[in-house]
Amino acid sequence: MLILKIVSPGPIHGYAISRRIQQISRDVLQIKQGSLYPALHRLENRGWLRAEWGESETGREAKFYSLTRAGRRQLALEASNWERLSNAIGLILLTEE
Amino acid sequence: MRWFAFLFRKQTVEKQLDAELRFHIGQETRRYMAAGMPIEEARRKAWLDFGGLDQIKEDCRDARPTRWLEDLAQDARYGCRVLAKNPGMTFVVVVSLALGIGANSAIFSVVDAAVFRPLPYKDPDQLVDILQVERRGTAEQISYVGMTRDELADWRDQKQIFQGIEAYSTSFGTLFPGTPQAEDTVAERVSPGMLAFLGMRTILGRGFSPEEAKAGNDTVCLISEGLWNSAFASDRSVLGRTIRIDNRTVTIVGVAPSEFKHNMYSFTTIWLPLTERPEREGPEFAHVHPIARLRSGLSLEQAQSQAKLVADRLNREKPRVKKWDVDLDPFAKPLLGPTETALYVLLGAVGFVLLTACANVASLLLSRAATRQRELAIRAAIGASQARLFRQFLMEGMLLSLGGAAAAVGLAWYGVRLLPQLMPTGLLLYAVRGATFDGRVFAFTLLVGILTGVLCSLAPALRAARTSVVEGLVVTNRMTGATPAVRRLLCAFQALQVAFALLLLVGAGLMIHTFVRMLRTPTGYDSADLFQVSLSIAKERYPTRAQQDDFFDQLLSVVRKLPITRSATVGTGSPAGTSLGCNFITEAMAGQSGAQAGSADLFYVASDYFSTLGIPLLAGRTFGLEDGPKAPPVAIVGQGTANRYWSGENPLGKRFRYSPDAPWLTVVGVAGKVKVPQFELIDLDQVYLPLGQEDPTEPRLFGTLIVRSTGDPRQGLSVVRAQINALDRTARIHEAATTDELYWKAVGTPRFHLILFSAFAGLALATAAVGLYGITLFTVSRRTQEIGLRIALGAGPGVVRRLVVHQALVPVVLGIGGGLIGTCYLTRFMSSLLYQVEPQDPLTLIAVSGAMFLIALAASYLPALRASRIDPITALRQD
Repeated sequence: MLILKIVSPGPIHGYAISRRIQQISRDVLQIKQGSLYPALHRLENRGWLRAEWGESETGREAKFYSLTRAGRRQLALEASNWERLSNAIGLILLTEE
Repeated sequence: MRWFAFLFRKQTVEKQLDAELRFHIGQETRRYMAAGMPIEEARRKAWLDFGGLDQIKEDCRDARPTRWLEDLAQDARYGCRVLAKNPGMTFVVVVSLALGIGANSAIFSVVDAAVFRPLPYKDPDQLVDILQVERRGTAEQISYVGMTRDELADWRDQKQIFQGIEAYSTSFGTLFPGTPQAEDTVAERVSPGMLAFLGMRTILGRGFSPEEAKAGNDTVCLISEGLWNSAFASDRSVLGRTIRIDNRTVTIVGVAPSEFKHNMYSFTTIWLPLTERPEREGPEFAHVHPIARLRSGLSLEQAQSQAKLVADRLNREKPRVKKWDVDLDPFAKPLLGPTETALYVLLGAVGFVLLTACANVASLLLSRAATRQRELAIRAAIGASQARLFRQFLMEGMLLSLGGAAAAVGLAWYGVRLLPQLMPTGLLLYAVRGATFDGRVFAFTLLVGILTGVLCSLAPALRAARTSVVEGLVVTNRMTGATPAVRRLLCAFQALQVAFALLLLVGAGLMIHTFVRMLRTPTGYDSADLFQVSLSIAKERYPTRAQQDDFFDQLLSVVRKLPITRSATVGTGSPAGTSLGCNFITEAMAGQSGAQAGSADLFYVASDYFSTLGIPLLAGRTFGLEDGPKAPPVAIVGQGTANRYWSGENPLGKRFRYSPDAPWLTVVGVAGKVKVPQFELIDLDQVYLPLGQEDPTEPRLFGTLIVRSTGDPRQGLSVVRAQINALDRTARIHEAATTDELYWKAVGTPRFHLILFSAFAGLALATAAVGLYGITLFTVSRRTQEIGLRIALGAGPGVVRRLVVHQALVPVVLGIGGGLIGTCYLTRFMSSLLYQVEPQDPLTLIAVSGAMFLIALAASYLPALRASRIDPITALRQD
């Protein structure tokens, strides 16, 4: 879901996604950088991401990912599920008396 | 689209993957450099942060949807390499599996054609036979004489029961298809709508039109597909050509498909239209056989009860001489009785052959897996999952079995063509002749191939999946041979092979025993130097009965005067050849209600028939001149008939008749029993009637000349044939053979079983023996160090031999025991194929068990010899 969210604004290559994850989570999520890529490929094969080769900001060729329509739907679905889940948990945590 | 790239543009995909990952690492390196790190350190940190490149790549590859396919291809390639490294074993396995699967397919094609395949007619459940039954008084006779055309019309009117009725009549005729050889054939007349009625179409041309059913217009014919192929070489211009049958010339208007039969076993080659009026006078032309199609939705029981009512009404409205009742029988009943049993038994037997081969291959693969411990351990150590290792071995087994199945296709195809030649006569012939290698059989072969592959590789695959890395890499496992579990499995496979082989050997032994018994059974007549000739004369040349009788009398006297003739007689049949049949009711039975008519073989014979054939007359007299056409009708019965119908009484003077209108026949003599070899060797009873009292209105065109010659009967045959030719060149000889030859032909069915069973048993036995030899050899080679140690410690060669042989014989004994238990359960299915032999015939069981044991002993002795000659020094140094 995180990856889908990060990709949703527009075409972005794998390294930039990795940097974004580090920035957003404020380095809380420490995963081996490389393990992003199997996940990306899985999402691509599932049809939620589309990939294209293009020129990066440094001039080298890179693979850019963007969201497909199905991917957008999936993101919305997962986001709403997460919201429901977190609301429910929040409610339970609040009713502590 | 990506699938395409993944499968066929692998290089590009890999390059892209590499580029993408390296891009990431490059960017991270730059970031660190921009932060001030020296280039080397930046690069090192970037790589570390990324993780193992190849591991990540592998994970990316795993994310591909086509991964399983790539894995499968990889397994297959690897499997092929492994199998190619061991060409000897691969060859042996593929061949033995091919034989097993091929034999199964061949037999399956026979069973499929006879039993499983759906009937080729449209809606076959709606088709029924209409059988007219006469019930008179209290005794019931079933005379399936068939109906006349008028009766057919009456039934056709019953639209509430039958959608439609078509009819046919059969006769034998002589065909002159344009080749010099005239051919006896079955000819049928069918009503014009028959083809469409059964839901079939001609291959070429058309069926009959209603016009052609009118008398005089029936100069057209349909020929069978078989005849079209054999006599006309499938020439498509055959339409319009003429063909001669008997003395008529007819034009071919169509070719009927090979499914166009009114039962599975008819061999009609030519059809003529069934004319509205009989084409000739005489009882054989008056009757037709109807096939009716029930109205949709009407069940057989409903139709039966309705038909009975109709029959009653017709009997009242149209008074006939006989009162008919009617029975509706489902049409084209599947094959019943002993032939079906025989087919299932054969199928089971050939299944056991395959199972033996499977057990053999499984033990082979298992023992090979034991030697591949190291390879498996390494693969497991670098990350192969249990499932992967399991799949690998399964794949190897499938490769072997599918290779065997491919070869089996060819073998089965050839075998199906070969089978009819092994089976020259008998009921089974019809089943065998119908077998073809078609799509169903191919699918069966494939299925069996897959199942075989799974069966064979299950044990080694499971074993491989449980590979222990430590054991495989560290321990050499040579001192002990193989793990106890593996050894138990190998023992079990051996025992299974022995058991299956034993079962088949028992079956073969029983068939041999049966066959020998049948041959040894006294036939009741003396067949030494005996031969017979069946011939027929043309009605055109001898139009009257008197002329026909003259011919046969003249022939007989000529033959009697020949120097090679010791004695000669003439009749309508002979014990080893064909005969007529009859049903009858004795005087005693006529009074009882519900008595079943008796049946017997019927022979019209001359007075010296019994003396010529050497059949003893046990009571009364033979026929003589006094038994002429005007004299009281007499008969001689065989002893079997006498015992069956007049047991305890003196049969002489007793009377019987065929039907309530026929005259009573008086028994004047009792002849010795004559054995007629048939499929089940029923003692069919015999009834003999004097030639002189044959119905004088019937033409006498057939006759069988039986001659006992002074010397070689075959020489006698050619002399007599020459004589017949000299007397009348147009006379047709149907069968000319020595009586022994005919008897041999008649026991063709048990002989066929014998051949097949022996072949199967031999195959299984060879498989089991070779398997035993191989496994023992393998065990010895694995225990080389241990044996070397024993020899070094003082064990003599005899001790070593005994050690090896004893160990090898354990599964053999288990197998024999298991096999014997199996025979107790299974041989009862064979009992209908046996003659005077118990299914648990002790002689056979003991002989077979003993033979099996001895062969196993021999198979294990050779490796034992080898073991006893092991040099302890080299053995102990071996690693």
